[in-house]
Amino acid sequence: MAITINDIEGFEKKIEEIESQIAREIVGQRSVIRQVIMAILAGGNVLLEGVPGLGKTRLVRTISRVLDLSFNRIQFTPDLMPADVTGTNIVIRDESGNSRFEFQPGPIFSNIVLADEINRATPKTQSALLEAMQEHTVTVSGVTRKLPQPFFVLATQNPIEQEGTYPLPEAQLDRFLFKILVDFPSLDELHDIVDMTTSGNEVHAQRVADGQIIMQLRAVAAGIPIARSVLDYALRLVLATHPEREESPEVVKRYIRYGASPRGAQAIVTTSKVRAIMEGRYNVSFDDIRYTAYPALRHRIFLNFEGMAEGKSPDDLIGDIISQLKE
Amino acid sequence: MRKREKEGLNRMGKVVDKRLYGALKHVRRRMLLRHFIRFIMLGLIGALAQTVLWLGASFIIPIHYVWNKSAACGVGVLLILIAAGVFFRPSMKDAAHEADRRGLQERVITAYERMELNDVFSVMQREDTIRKLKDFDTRIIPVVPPNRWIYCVVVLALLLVIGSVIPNPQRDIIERQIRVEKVIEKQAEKLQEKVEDNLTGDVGLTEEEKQELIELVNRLADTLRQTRDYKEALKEISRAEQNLDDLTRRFQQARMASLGGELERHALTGALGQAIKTMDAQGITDELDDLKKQLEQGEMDEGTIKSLKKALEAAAKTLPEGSLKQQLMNAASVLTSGISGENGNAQNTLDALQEMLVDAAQENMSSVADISYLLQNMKGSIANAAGQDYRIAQSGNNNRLTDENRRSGSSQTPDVQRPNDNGTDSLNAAGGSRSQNGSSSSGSGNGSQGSGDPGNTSGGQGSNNGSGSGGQGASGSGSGTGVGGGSTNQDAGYQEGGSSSGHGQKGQGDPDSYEEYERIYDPVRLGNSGQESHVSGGPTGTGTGEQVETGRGLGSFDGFIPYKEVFGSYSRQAMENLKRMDIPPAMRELVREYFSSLE
Repeated sequence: MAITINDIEGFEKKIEEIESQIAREIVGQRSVIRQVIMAILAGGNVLLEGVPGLGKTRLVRTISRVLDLSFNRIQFTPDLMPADVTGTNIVIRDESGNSRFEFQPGPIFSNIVLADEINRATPKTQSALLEAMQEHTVTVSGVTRKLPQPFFVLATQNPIEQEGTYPLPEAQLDRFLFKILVDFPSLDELHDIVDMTTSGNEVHAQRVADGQIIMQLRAVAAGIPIARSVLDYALRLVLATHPEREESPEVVKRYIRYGASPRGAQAIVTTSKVRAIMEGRYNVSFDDIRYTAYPALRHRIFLNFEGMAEGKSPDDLIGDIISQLKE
Repeated sequence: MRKREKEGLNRMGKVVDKRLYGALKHVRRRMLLRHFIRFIMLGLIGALAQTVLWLGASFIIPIHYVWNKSAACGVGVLLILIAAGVFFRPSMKDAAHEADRRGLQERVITAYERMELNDVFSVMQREDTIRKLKDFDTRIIPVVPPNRWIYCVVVLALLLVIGSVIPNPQRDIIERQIRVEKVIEKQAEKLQEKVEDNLTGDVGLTEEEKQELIELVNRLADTLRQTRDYKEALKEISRAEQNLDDLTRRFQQARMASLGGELERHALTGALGQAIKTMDAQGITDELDDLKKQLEQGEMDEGTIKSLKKALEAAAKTLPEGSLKQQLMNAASVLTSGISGENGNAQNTLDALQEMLVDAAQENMSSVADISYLLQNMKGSIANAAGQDYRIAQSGNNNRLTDENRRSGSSQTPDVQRPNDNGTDSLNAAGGSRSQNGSSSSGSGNGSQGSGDPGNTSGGQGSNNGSGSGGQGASGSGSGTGVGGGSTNQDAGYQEGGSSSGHGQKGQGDPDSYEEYERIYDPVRLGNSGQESHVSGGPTGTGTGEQVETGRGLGSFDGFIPYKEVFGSYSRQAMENLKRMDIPPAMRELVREYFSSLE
């Protein structure tokens, strides 16, 4: 796909349009919206974590509407089977009375898949998403099928109600580009939310993009240059999350069990590029790296017992690492 | 790099967009300004710091021309740092980083790295960067060094001012050293000149011997010129004196051996030759007396006299030109006169010959004695320049020399008076001196010698007291204490004994008592138990003297003998030396008065 100067210059404008349309339906949560868009443009999946009722599902629905993408929601429950996600072969009897197997696509076959409360499903069902998230394909009965492009999974999970849940395995967590924390809205935002949803004057977001535009924006973002020193900084940041490394900060050695995988570095760099151009810059800065490090790494570093016992959060540790890392 | 920039090439030689360099220039200029200001400031701090160090060190150790040296080093430090500043001056890339740090958010370094690329992203990024750089206000790059640097300069400058205002205790030492250096230089030149003058002509030495002497003196002069410490200089001179003694002895022994050997070959002078060969002064005297007697009584016939004359002439030929040779020739020639009845003349000549041979047998050598005298003078001049009493200076020096002699097992005796070599005795001197001062008709004093084990690591202590009464109503008492550390070897113990001396003298006794007594050190007696003696009190000489046997005291230095035992020979030697022409008449009188006051 050939990128022109107009494409690059139009990027910022398009993003502004998308953001403004989403903001019509979603009150506040600017940072969450921005991070979700960044993840979408970087071609990754997002894990949204927040208590129920914060508008996670609404956000995803709105995004799909604004981007004019197909959208499916899967409510994950313990009895959900993999076939319920991927689809399955069913017996079809044709007019002549012959029976044959025909693949019935599951809800995964969509541009945007909302995996609601993903941690309530069994690991077997959760893992059914692995191939789709990483390869953008689904294999059923030995037949591999491509998913529509663009494709991304937006999963949600509830951080407080942990009974009867199945925490996501590290391998699956690693496949999420970002883990975004959805905070409770402020009083003003809450006013707006209540006004908007109870007055009957609900405004709906308009479509301002489509799948092709998203793919084009994605290509533009991927071309943003990054200086060697900045790339080096991002990689050192990821390496610094590993407690076994000699040069890692003391806090990492003390509280972290496992550090981030190389996917973490990829996530930081790709999303930093998106952020740079969203900010109207044609290069990645150290600030971009620092900004994206939190959502890109917080689900990729695992605390040890001491870290958990002392109530440390991954964000605390990422902050410590950043403060000690020289540019 | 400049050329590359002008040509629009990057490090790899690829064509780059020169506009970026142009846009970055003002940032780099500002950085260069800041860079050089900082390096100059660093140089200033370094220069000041090293000056403070020099100054501080100059308070502990004497440093000549400390300001000159510190200024030279300071300029050096400054220049080095400026040179380092030139070498490590900021590049365009550094300027790019700096601009990025100051708000351009890695735009410049990204553009810098992609200068040779012309894809759409690189071009747009570069355009954006150039645009931003043009709007970049370089004044946000501070050129003033950090405050702590300025504080540092102020503190160092203050230290410098304080250091230059406070009186430096080492200044006197330095001035003295400079004085000593000048005197050493002058004396060394004088010595070389005089020695060369003295050895010109017939002085009874062969050319080889003269050469050896000149070499000895030149060596000494060279060593002295490299010496700053007056003590070292005195030590060197004393060493040279000792070498001179050895040399003299060797010359004289060789000469007497050849002379004696020649005379031995003749029947008439065989016994004399034997005595000369063995350097037996008494034998020489006896044999020549016998010859004179035979001549006087006319017991020799003409043939015998002729053969005696021949023997003397042959013996004279073995000697180098000089007074002894001349005297032998004279003696040979006057023998004929003796035959013709002028025995008186022959008698005188033989007397003179006898005296010369006896002197030679006693290893006296006038030409070398002059050099020795010059060395003595040199010591005095150097010690005076150092602001030291010559005797004290020499005393300390002798301690070391003797110490060295002990180590080497040598028992050579420097033939100079060496007052107050051992502090242990000085302790007693303090006690004794009181009695001395207090008594004109009679006096008594006693002192207990400090105790200390040689080779013991514990310190030694000495104490003394003295009392005296005088017939003219003068009385007094004195006491003093001395403390000295022992050491693990005898030599060191000896040195420490010396240090205790000072304490003893500064006791309650007469502070001038030190001047009234002379300790005579005789290294020949090394190893014997020490003896303490006191001169009979007062100028009238009527006080009683006393002698105290001392045990092995501090440092166990025993080489002291009663004063009276050596006074006579020292006095006699001094009077003989006075006859020499190069001693000023006033000084001769002073020496005579000194010795007569001691009698």
